[in-house]
Amino acid sequence: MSAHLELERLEKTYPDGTRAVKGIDFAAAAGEFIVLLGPSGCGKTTTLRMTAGLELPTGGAIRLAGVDVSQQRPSRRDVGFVFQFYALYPHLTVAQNLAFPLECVGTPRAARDAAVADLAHRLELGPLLSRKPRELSGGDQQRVALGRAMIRRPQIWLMDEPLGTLDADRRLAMCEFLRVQQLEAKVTTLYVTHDQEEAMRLADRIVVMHDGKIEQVGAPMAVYDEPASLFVAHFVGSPGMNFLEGSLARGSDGWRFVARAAADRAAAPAAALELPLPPALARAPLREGPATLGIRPEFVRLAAAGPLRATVVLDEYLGASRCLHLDTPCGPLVARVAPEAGAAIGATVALDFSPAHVRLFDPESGARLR
Amino acid sequence: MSASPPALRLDSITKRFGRGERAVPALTDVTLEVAPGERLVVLGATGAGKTTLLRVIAGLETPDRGRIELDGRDAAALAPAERDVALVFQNFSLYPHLTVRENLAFPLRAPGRALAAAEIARRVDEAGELLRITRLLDRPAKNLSGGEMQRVAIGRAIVRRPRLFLLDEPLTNLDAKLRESLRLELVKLFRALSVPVVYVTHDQAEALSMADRIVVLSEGRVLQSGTPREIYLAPASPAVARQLGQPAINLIELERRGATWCARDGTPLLPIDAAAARGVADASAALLGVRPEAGRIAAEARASPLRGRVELVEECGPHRVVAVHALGQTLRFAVGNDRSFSPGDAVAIELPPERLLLWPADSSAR
Repeated sequence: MSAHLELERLEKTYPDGTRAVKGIDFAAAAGEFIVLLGPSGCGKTTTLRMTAGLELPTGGAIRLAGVDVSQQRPSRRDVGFVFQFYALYPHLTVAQNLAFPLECVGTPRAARDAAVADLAHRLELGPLLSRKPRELSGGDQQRVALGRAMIRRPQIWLMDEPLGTLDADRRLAMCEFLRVQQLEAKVTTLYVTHDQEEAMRLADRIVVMHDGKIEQVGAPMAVYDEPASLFVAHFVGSPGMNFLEGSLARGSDGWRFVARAAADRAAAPAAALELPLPPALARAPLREGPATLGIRPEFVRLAAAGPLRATVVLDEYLGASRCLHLDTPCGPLVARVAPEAGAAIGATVALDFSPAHVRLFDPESGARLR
Repeated sequence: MSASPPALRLDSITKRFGRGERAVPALTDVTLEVAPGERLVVLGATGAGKTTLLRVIAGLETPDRGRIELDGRDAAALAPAERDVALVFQNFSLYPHLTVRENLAFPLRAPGRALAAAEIARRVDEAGELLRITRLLDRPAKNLSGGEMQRVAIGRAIVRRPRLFLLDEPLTNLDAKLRESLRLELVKLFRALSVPVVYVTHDQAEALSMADRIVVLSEGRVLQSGTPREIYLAPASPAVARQLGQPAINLIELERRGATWCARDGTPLLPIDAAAARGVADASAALLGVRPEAGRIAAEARASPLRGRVELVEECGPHRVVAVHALGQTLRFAVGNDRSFSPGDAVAIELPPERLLLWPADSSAR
């Protein structure tokens, strides 16, 4: 039975004093797909390993279906751990490989055969069941390996970058495969990755981690659209959100953001960027003083006349879109534009932002102002 | 024609490993050119022959057949050291106990270089600045992060001032976020140095964004070469089309029925005389390619004869990818993130003729 998972003030401090996980809280509903996302060293893998029982927490609790398992041995917990590296047993057929995890837990023969037949049908592996791994293509081997990892339906699946070693194009296909299988099996899943694209595609909710702490928990689009901090805004999105440093000022007609010239500029630009804030933002409890403005690359528009002048530094063609890397008096910016909208390097363009897509942050704490 | 010869020219390079019956071809008739200052990206899956190609250029492998020219001169007789090319690998190998500075200076102290100490220091400082690792120069290499190590590894190639850079998937082992920023830095660096580059990768986004020109390699053969736009918009074959774009291009088998190209189940998709179908005018079967961003899907009932049901929706930030079951297969479409779909939704699909690609059916294997 798929179970709900609760982590409460979970901590891990190693004997050398390193605090890998600094007291984190979150809960996953039964059947939910949760992705722990963050850079190397953020504590995501340690959190996963503590949930599996491969490491013991030094504080807090892990509850699976309401039962505190934090000090239980791995074998006592009903978890399925999927590692990055999953080689098939070369001397076993596809069917034997698939049945192996069930044999290990003593599932009766008939139930095993039924599970293998069902999986083979869903993975369209029927014709391959009697083959040995070496007779399969690379892609089929990966499907069998992932299928084998998912044949048992424990209370929770724990996955540590299972797609990490694949070529980029295979990874995308396997992401979709994995998600379809999980939706079908409805097993609660905790999945670790540093790849924000994978996280966005797979998750019901993403837990963004940084420096042993949780920065934000939310649905992929909530994390993307309404990042809780500068870190999330930068880390999620490819490329991440653009930032301009400046300050908030209150005028007779409402709040405005006044951008500061970038530190490496000799002189302030003739006309500093001043952006009136939309009424929705201005309702937030804002204070006059330093602020960081954030805007996603797809909301930086090239305009015939705009408040900010920019020079094209680099033009990245990406097939379905194009990223223009721009140098402005207020610092570098990236604009995501249509693939036909190429620009010569060195060309001058005018930029405009739609105020509705502006996000404001406290430059000191990094927290979102809202 | 420019007066200066290409920085690199390969003419019909063939390389096999093993002998006689059991010989495995690694490269077959590979012909390509790199202009002075040009960034050429060789794109191919694992096992396509990319690394062998770099090793042949560097002189670490001898081709069975074909000619290699560097700056217009036959390179066959040149030993690797005499070719003056720098090779950067995926697994950045630094001397862990030496400082960054010592690692950078190392290639310059090689016997036969005879550079003055002042010149070595100057080049190291310059490379440090270009790669923005000046503050790391006196740290031991073992204390660096992965991204910093790869920068130093590239720095070791830069200080030599080679006539040609060869890079073998230099970003593959790095975190996704770091890969994205280093990709940009590398392009800026190559532009600043204006040194010709052959850059090998399996990552289509790297190829599209970094290349002046792309060569698509598969099973040791060149499938197509051209600018990123040419290859993305006008792939010569389905195999090339599949290599570029994320998610991959949708491929649909077509049959000629009267005046219409139809899917296997009879759904009419395209008039026979459509401009996109000119290349297959005489064929009875064809393969249709639709980029995920080229098709349009709508929940409301439209006149389109092509209908399907949503299987999965994946978020990608500025857009979302909707997987639709239609024509007995899964088709994927990219839509703006302001449009929402749920699994199970019935949708109508439109395929704008001007965005479609058609190939003769027998080209599917190529």
